[in-house]
Amino acid sequence: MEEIIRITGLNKYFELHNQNKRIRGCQDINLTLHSGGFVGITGRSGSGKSTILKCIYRTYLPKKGIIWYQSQIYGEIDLAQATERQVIHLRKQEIGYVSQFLHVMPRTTAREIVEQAVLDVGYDIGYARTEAVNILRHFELDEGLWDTYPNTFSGGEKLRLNIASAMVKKPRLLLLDEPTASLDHESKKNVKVLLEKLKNEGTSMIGIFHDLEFMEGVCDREFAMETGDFVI
Amino acid sequence: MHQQERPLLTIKNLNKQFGCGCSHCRDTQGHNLEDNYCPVCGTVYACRNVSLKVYPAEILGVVGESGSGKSTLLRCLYFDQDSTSGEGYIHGYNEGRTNIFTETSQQKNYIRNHLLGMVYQNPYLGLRMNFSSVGNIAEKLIGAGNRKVDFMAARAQELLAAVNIPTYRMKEAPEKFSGGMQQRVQIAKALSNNPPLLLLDEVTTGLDLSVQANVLDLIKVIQRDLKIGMIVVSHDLAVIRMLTDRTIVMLNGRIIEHGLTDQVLEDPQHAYTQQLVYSLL
Repeated sequence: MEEIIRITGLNKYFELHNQNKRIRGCQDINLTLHSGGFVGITGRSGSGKSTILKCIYRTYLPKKGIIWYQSQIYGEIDLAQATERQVIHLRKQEIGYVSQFLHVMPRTTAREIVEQAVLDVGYDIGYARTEAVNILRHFELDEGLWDTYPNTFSGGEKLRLNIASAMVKKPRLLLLDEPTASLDHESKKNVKVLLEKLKNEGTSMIGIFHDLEFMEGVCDREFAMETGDFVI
Repeated sequence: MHQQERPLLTIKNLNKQFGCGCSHCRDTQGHNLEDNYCPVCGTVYACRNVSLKVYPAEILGVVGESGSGKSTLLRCLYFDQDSTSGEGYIHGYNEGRTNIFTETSQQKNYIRNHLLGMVYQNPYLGLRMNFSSVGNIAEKLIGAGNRKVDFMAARAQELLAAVNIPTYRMKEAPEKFSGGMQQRVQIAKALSNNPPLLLLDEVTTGLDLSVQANVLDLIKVIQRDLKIGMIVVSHDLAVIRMLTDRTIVMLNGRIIEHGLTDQVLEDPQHAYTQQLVYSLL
C-alpha cells in the first residue's frame, strides 16, 4: 500500500525569547503512515504527542525535519515547508484535525458548523445539509440542539460536535488529538464505529488516545512516546 | 492538480514616512531610529518595506500595538495618504499589471470607487453624518458612476436591510444612530459598489460586546456569501482568531512575523509576538 505520510527527523522546540528559555517539543521523530492506515501514539502528558500532530497540521512550525505528504491537490508536498496558502487549502479539503476543544465562530449553530465544514471542501449547500443531518444523527446529538449555539452544550456534546464537523468532510488524513478523553462509553462507541467506517472508506489517521482499550482493533500500529522521542 | 492562485492584491516594499528624513536616518535600514522615529529630524517611518498578498475570499489579519503602522498601511491602500514608495497591484485593475500607487489621482479615484471599500474605526471618517443613510450609500454609488436614482435607492435599501438597519430608520442621518449602527451603515456603504477588496480598520474597537458581536457576524457573513477579500486591522487577538486564516504582525512600521493565524497565536516566533500573545490570551 502506498505511503501517505512519511516523517523524517522531525524536531520541534519552543524558543521563549522573553524568558530566555528553550522548551523541548519532540525530537528525531520518524513515522510512516500508509494510505488507509491508522497509527496510534501513546505516552504521558507532556511527552510531545500533540506536538507531532500540530506540526503536521502546521499549528506549530517544525524546526527541523521533513513531513512528506501525498496530497491529492498538490501531489508530493513537504508540510514543514508548505506555504500558508497551501496549508489553508489542505486543511479545507484534505486534512482534518480533532482536538478535545471546540474552536468555532461564536453565535454559529451546531448545524451551521457542520454544514460549513462540508461547504469548505467544495460541495453544494444541498449536499452539505444532508450530510450535516446524517452525521449529527449518527452522533446522537439531540435534535433540539442542532439550531442552537454550542457554548451552551455540555463537554460531551461539544466534543461530539467537534468530531462530527471534522469527520463529515471525509478527510484524506485525519489527526485525532485525544478526541475521546471526556466522552461517555456510548459516545466512544459511536466514535469508534465512525472511525472504522472512515478507515474502510480510505481515510488515513494518526491518533492520540489515553484509552488503550479504545485503540484496540482500530489502530494498525502503535508508538509509545517518552519525553519527545518514540520508544518502540 | 491545484492551479496557481492569483492574488487579489499584491503589495511590494510599501514605505510611508512623515517628514523628509535626514542624513542621520536615511538609508540606514532603521538602525539610527528610536522605534520608527528619527530623533534628529523628527521623521516618522510609519510603514517600512511592507509586502503582502491578499487572495480572493480571504481575510488577512493585521495585528500590532498602537503606532505600529497598521492604520497607515490601510490608508495608503485606500489612497487616503500618499505612499512614499512601493508597488501595489490589484487583480481587477489592468489585470494586475499597473502599479496603483503611481497612478493619477483620477485613476486612484476610479480604483477607490470601483474596487475598494473601507470601514474606519471612527465612523465620522467614513460617513457624512448629516446625510441620510440612503444618501451616504448613494454618494458611493455616484462615485462609481451610477446615475439612476431608482437603482441607487433600491440598492441602498437592500444593503441597509442586509446590515439590519430597520426600514423606518433608513432615511435618518447616522448622527442619530448608535456606534454599532453607524458601523453597520459604514459597512453597507463600503459594500455598495461590490468591491472585491474590503479594508476594515479596528471596526469593533470601542463598541460594547453585543454590538461588537453583531458587527463580527456581519463581516463573517459577507465573507462567506459574497466571497470578498478583506484586510482586517485589529489589536484584538480574539477578533483576529475569529475572522482570519492568515495574520501579519507589525511593529514600528515593519512586518515582523506572518503565518497561519492559529500558528501565530499558538507558536509565535518573534519576541514581540510572544509578548503580545502571552499578555493577551
